[in-house]
Amino acid sequence: MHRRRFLKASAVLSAGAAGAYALPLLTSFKSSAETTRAPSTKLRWGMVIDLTRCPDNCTACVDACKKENNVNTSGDKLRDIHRIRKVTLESTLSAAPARKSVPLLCNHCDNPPCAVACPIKATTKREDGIVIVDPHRCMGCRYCMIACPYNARHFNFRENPEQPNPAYPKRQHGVAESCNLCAHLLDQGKRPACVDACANVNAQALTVGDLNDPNSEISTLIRNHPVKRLREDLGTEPKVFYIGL
Amino acid sequence: MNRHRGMIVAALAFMAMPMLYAVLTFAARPVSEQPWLEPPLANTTCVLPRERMRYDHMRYLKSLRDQVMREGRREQVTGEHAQGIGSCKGCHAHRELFCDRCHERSSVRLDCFGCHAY
Amino acid sequence: MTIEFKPIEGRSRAFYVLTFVLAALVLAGACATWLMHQHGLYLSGMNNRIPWGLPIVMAVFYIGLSAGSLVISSLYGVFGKLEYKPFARVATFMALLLMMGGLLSILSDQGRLDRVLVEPFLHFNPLSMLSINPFLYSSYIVICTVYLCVLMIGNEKWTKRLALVAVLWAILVHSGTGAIFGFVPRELYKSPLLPPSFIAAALSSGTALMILIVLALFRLTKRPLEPKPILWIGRLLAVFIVVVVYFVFIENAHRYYLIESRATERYFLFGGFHSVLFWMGMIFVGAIVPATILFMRKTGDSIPWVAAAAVMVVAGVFCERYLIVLPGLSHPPDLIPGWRIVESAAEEGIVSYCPSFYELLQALGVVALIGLAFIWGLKLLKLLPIHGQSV
Repeated sequence: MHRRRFLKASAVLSAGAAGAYALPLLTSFKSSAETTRAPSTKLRWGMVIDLTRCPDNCTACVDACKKENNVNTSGDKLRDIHRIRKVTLESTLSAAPARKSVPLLCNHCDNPPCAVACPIKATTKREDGIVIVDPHRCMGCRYCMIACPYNARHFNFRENPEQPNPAYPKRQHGVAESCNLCAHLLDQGKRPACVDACANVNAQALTVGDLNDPNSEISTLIRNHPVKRLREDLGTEPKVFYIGL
Repeated sequence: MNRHRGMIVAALAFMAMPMLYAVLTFAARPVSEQPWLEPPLANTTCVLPRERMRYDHMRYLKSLRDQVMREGRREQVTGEHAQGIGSCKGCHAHRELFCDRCHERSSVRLDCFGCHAY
Repeated sequence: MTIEFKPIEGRSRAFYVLTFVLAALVLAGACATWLMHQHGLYLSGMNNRIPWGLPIVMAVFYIGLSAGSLVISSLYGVFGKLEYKPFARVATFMALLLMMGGLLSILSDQGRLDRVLVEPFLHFNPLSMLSINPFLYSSYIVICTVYLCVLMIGNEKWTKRLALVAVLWAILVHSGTGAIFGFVPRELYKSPLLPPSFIAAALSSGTALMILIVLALFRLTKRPLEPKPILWIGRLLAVFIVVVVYFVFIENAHRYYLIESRATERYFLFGGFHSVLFWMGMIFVGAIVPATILFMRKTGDSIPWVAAAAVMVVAGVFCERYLIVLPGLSHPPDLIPGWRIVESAAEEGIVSYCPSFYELLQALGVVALIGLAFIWGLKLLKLLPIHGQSV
C-alpha cells in the first residue's frame, strides 16, 4: 500500500518537474528567430576598412573606441578589452616579408556563431545586422567567446568604475562583451567612434554604411574594389570588408 | 516508521528550507507606509503617470531596453530622455533620496547602477 | 533472493573526522566561489584567450563519471544481471551526486551567479548547446532520483523501465556534452566524433570509479564481497578503454591526415605541456597500462591489480577532459591565412593556462561536497548491502 502510493507520488512529481522544464522550451521556439533570421532587406549595417589608407602607426580608432566605451586598458595583454585593435601582420609566403597594419574588430557576421551559442539570447543579431550583447542579461558563461572563430569577444574580469563618457555605461564585472558598432550612435544617426576618429585624422580608412542600399558609400566601395573578409570559408558571412588585404 | 527514518529526515529538511524562507520574509516585511521620497526637481511630467510608474517602472525600463537595444527603435527615447535610465536623473537627482528609499525598505536589489551612472 | 540493505554505522571516529574535513573544504570552496563572484573572475587563472578552465574541466569530468556509474546499476536494471543487484543503489546514488556536482561546477563558474539562477529558465535558446545541456542534466537528476526511489522500493517492473530511461537519457546527456565542444567552429573542437567519444570516456571512467568505490566501501565497512562480479566489470572496463583509444586515434589521425588541420594537430600532439598529458597521462597511464593489466589473465583476475588499473583509468580520463577543453583554447585561430601576427595589443600567440588558488579551492569544495553527501547518504539511507552477493 505504502509503496504504491509512494510510487504514484513520485511519478506525479517527476511528471510535474518535466512539465516545469518543458514550459520554457515551448515558449522559446518563437523567439529563436532572433539568432537565425535571414539578412534584412531593409537596413543592413556593414563596414569597409581600406588598408591602403590606414597608416601603420595610427591608433586613432582604438583610442576613440576606448574613450567612447569607457574601456580602460592596463597593458594586460590577456585580460584587457579590445573592442577594436590594430595588429601588425607579416607575410608567411614571400621571402622578404611584407608588413601590414590591420584593425581587427567584431565582424558582425550574418550567421553569428556567438548568437547561436548564447544560452539565454543575451547576444543576438539585431534586425539591422548588428550583433549586440545585452549587458543586463548576460550571465557570464563565456560560451560566446568559445564559439567566436575570430576571438573578437571579451570578458570583464574585473570591475572598472571609471566612466569618462557619461553617455555610455561603465563596465561591471562578470559579463561578456564585444564591439557593437556603436549601435547607440548609429541609432541616433551619428557615426561609430572609430569611423569618426579616422575621418578626423584625415585617413578615412573606415566607412560604415548600409549594405542593402546600392547607392551608399560602402556599397560603392565594395563594387569598385576587390574586397576580402576574414575566414570566408567558415560561412559566418562577416560584414567587415577589407580592401587591400 | 523506524525503517524510513532516514528518508523522513531528508524530506523534512528539504521542506523546511522554503518554509524558513517564507517565515523570514514575512518577518522582514516593511511595517510602515511608503517612505518619504525626494520630490522631482523639474515641474514637467514623467514619462508615465505616477501610479503606473510606481508599480511598472521596471517593466517599462525593460521593454524600453529591449526596444532600444535589440530593435534599435528610439522613438520614445528622444530629447531629454535620450539617455535611457540616466535621464531620470534630470528630475530625480539623488538616488539615495529616491530610488534607494523604497528599494532598501523592500529589499529589492538594484542591478542598474553597477553600469549606469547616477 | 532478497538482499538486505543496511546503512553504514557511521559512528567511528574516522567517519566524524572525515565529515569535519570535508565540511571545512566545502566551506573553503564556497568562500572562494563567493569571492570570485563578488570581486570578479580576475581571481581565476582564466583570460580572454582561455575563457574556460578548471571548473569546466571538472564539470565535464563529473558528468562523464556520472553516466559510467549508471552502467553498473543498469547491468541489473536493463540487462537483468542479478549479481549486480547489490550494487545498483550505491551506483545510482553516486550517479545522482556526481551529476549534481557537475552542475554545481558549471554554476559556480559563471560571471553573474545572480542571473544564472534565473535567466536560463526565462530565455531558453533551443539552438544553444549550453541551453539544451543543463536541461538534460537537470532532467537526468530527476530521473536518477526517481530511479533510486524505485530501486529502494523494489518494484521490479518499474525498475526495468526506469533503468532503460536512465540509460537512454545518459546517452543523450553525454552526446550533448560532447556537442558543447564538438559543434563549435574552433580547430581543435569541431568534430562529429566528440559526442560518441565522450560517451566512451564516460563509460570507462565511471566504471573505474565504481570499481574503486565498491571495493573501498566493502573493505572499510568490513562487509564481505565476492570478487567475481568485480573482475567481470574489470573486463568490461578493458573493453571500454579500447573503445576510447579507438575514438581518440581516429579523431587525431583525421586531424593530422588533412593538411588544413595538420599544423594545429602538431601543436596538440607535440607542442606543449598538454602533449605530455596526452602521451603519458592519457595514452600510457590512462589506456595502455590498465588495458594490459586487465587483459592479461594473471593480473586481470586479481583484485589489487584491477583496482590499480581503475585508478589509472580515472586519472587518464581526467587528462582527456583537460585535453578536450584547453589545447583548443590555447592555440590561436588562423585569422588571416598567409599572414602571421607579429604585434598586437592583445595576446595573439599560444597562451598557457594555470588554475589559480581560488579555482583549486572551488574544485576541491565541489569534490568535498560530493564526498560529504555520499558518506552521509550511506549513513542515513539503506544503500549498501550487507554482503556483496545476491545468492
